[in-house]
Amino acid sequence: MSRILVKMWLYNKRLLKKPSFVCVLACCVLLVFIFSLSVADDGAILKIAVASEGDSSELYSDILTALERGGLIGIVRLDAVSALEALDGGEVDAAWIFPADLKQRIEKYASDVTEENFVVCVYQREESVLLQISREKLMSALYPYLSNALYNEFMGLRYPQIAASGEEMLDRYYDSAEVDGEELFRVVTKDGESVSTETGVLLSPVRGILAVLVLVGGLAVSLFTIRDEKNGAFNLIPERKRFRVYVLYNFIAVLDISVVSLMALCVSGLSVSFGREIIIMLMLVVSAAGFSTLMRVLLPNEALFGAVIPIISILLITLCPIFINVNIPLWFRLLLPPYGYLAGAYSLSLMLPWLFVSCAFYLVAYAAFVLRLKVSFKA
Amino acid sequence: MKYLIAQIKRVVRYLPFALLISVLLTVVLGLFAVRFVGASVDADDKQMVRIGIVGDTSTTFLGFGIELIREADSSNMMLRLEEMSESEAISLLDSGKITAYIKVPDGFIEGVSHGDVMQLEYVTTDVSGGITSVFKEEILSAVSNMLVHSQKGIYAMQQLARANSVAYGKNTDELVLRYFNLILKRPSVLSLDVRGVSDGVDFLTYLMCGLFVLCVSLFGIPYCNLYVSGDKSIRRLAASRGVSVCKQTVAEFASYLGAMIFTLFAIMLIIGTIGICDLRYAMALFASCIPALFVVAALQFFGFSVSDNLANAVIIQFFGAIVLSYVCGCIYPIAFFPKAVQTVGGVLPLSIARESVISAVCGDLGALEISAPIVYSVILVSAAVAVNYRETLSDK
Repeated sequence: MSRILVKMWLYNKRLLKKPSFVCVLACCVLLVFIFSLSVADDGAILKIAVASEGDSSELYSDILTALERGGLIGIVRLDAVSALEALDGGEVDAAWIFPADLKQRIEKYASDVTEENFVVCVYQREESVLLQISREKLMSALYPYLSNALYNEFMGLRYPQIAASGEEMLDRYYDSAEVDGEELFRVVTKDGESVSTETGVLLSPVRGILAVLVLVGGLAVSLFTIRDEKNGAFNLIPERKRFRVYVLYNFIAVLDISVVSLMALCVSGLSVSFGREIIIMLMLVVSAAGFSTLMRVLLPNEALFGAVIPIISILLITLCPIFINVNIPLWFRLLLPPYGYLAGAYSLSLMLPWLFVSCAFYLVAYAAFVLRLKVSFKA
Repeated sequence: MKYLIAQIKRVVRYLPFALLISVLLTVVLGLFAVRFVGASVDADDKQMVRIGIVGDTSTTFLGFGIELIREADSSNMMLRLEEMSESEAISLLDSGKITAYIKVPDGFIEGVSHGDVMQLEYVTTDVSGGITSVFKEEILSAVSNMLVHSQKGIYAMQQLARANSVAYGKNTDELVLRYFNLILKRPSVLSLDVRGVSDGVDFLTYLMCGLFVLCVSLFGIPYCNLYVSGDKSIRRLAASRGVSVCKQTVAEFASYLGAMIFTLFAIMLIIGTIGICDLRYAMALFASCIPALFVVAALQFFGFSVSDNLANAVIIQFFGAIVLSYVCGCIYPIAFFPKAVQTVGGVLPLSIARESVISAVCGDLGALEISAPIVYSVILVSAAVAVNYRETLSDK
């Protein structure tokens, strides 16, 4: 055991004495930290200029507060003319102009739902899915007031005696109606754990990118060992014992990058809980080192291996839920080490199958290594 | 000159291999792009999210709720809802055929009729928190809002009627119908005026250009074997024969740039030949993208220079490509980012490349879009010369 540790330390020293490797690791933490600071407050997918044709009422302010929730919309408060100018100048994606008599318009629309009684004017330079969804958000922000206005109007129509008691009394009943579930949907994983949705769209890919970086680090070191072997650096080690050298080298590189990734996650505020972060990162180290070793054994040619790395990287980025979620079978997802890591951040239900697949990487790699030795021995 | 020819010969030997990888990369990223911006593709199966509904959905109110979710997705690209059993939903979720399923708890309907709206579980494996999650959340939140507030109105009416001992059965039905009408006709609450694109590019073109820059910036990884070596003896030998470090670096960059230009030419030729776009347009686009290629190649080349071994080179190329692409707005539009990131990202090399590609695609490539990438590449190659000079000197 102590010999293995000494070897690991020596391999690690070899990596860490290179200034560029240390620089990349340091940059990783620093960049994530700076990025998380800069996107912490005002990141939004769409910029919408919002204006009121009259003075800002309390109702108008409440609607704007509702609109600003979530990461979809960034509100720019302007007057009506400036909003349209900002739209034409390409500074904003849409302009929403609220009428001066907002409350009356809402009441009128609720009593007669027709296009002529519209409430808000929406101006866009073009139509897109994002803007369609932003309009859904606007309609949703208006809905509580439309619902209340409809209820008031209905009470006046069907129960005039009760409505005669005044709008205040009606509102009191409306507000006190015990309807639970302000959030109708609870987003959970298969084992019932809630999925946090507070990360924000801009910061959320950071975890995935770091996980891919850990794996790419392992692959890069595999490539490095191929060249080392070609240059005779392992000549003193019998061929049949080289498998453990490959594993140790990969393990060390992956461990270094994983420690830095953990630090980056901590400084970005993305870490879920200390214990879970350690567990899933250790699993990622085991899985990524196994995957890199397997690739190294299967592709012993330096040029071929170097060429395969960008393909693997881009497959990982597209197939793992980093920027978008692509529906692929679970067994295939488990073959991608960063997937298990990303899923593990919210649910530990996949840990066992992931561990099984990670062990399979080592077994298959060893089997391929033995087979290659036999073939080369016969040749 | 001899050194340059030697470098060209070296890269030509390696080119077919790197070219194959670059084409494969383009295919993978192309498929990703189609998936990512699939909303703009007119296809029957364009929904990005397929969702199962589990539980008793036979009652009118819940059926209406499901219809409401369908309706809430007015873009008609996000959601496809299908009723199924829980075991079927779990199996489809595992096989990646659905993104999530909504679990309707027992007693949900009874609860609703008493003004107690129980929570529905949205069971998912999508933990990305990416852009599709924002869409999903916005739609689910809109549905929650509409259902909860409609229910508040209905329940308040019932409570008031009960308190005043008047009948409310028939009126409940009428009020429910009016709420249905309010929800289903909700687009009419807005007056929409689409003015047409006045400047800039549409979302799809922007993302395509961004992903193109990301793709090209990953082309550098296969060349790490060729340009990164801890052994500086050849450089010293060449220097002793009168080829200065500056000339060596420029010759190496020229050979690398040539390889990149040829790679792009081959990819555009393939795209034009297989009919993704017109061959003449593909060739014109190739010519217009050359300035952008200058800056990307120079950035990758600088990455080779600062790498002191193969492993570091691959990590630097990958990390540089992904991080810079992200911050420079090649994956998500730069406008999504806060002002500070936009300002910093806007002056980085890949932003310059992206702007140049966008101008090339829009056909308005001006002097600035041509000169900025070239000036940037001169700076980066000069930096590479400085690094190589320092290393050669320290070796001596």
